[in-house]
Amino acid sequence: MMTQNNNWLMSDYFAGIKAGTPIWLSMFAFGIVAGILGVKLGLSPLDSASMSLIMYTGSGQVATLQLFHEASPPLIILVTVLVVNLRFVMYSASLAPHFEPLNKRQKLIAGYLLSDQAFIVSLLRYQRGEVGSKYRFYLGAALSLWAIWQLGTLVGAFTGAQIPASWGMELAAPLTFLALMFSALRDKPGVAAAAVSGVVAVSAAALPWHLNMLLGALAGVVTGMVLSR
Amino acid sequence: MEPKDFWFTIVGAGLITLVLRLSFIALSDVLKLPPLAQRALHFVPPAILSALVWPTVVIRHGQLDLSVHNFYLIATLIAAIVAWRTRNIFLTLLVGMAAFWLLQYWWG
Repeated sequence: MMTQNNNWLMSDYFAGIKAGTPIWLSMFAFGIVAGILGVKLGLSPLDSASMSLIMYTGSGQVATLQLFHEASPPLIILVTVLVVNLRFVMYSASLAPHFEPLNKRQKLIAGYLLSDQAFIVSLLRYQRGEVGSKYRFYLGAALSLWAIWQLGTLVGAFTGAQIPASWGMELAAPLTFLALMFSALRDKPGVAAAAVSGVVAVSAAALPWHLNMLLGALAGVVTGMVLSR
Repeated sequence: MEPKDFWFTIVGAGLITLVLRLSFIALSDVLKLPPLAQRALHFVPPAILSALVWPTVVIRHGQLDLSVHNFYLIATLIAAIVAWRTRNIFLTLLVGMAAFWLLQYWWG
């Protein structure tokens, strides 16, 4: 048994879990915020948790809850979720070459568990080429992040406590993405891509559906490509 | 909205999100990306991460706020120095949050 345990600690699953740990705190915090919002807008804690299981998308859930609150028709909600989550297509395309050997079931699992955080953690590690089994590493990172998110929404939904703005919980996610951004910067075109993306995303902030984010990212990608030619 | 409609919408939104996530992963053995697209993907991480950071901290209450009174921005800029020097997520989070709390305490 001992040797089995040791093997597990050396496994790619465990390496994935470990790589995700620095992000757990902000994932948990965002989960709590989403859980609280659900209850505040009239969902039962159980409904709020089911919603998290079915959708598993923080920005998508928050947008959905707000639209329900404004009594928007279902079609508007579906279109909003589609546009807010279009970035997942970019993530999917980036990870696809690494997941090519997987079978259908594994791909389905990998798809469901895909999050901003799991994508970044895995892709940055793949690019450095330090992973044995890419799928196991991904599963370790993505599944633990998924569990933390679900736990966060549960805690938020059941405590339903108001978190005062002075705590700055909203900052946890951007600060985490900030650290990841610097890890992702490795050449001048990459730095330019980040800079242009940030400026465009801020300038276009008035657009609906978080389109500013998508527009910023696309502008950044084009900038990087032009400069790296 | 009726509870039934609510859950249809939630399940629909979940399916849409799943399809977006699966898109290229599901097609990876039939669809090969051309080299140009692969080069483009190289810039997705820095670009998307920047877009996830800056609007949140620079736009407050729907307004662009680049003033020193925007503690979200000041704390993020301080954290950026830590992120740049260390690339350590924990440390960046710690310093950023601490900076935010101290700013609130002193000037909030």
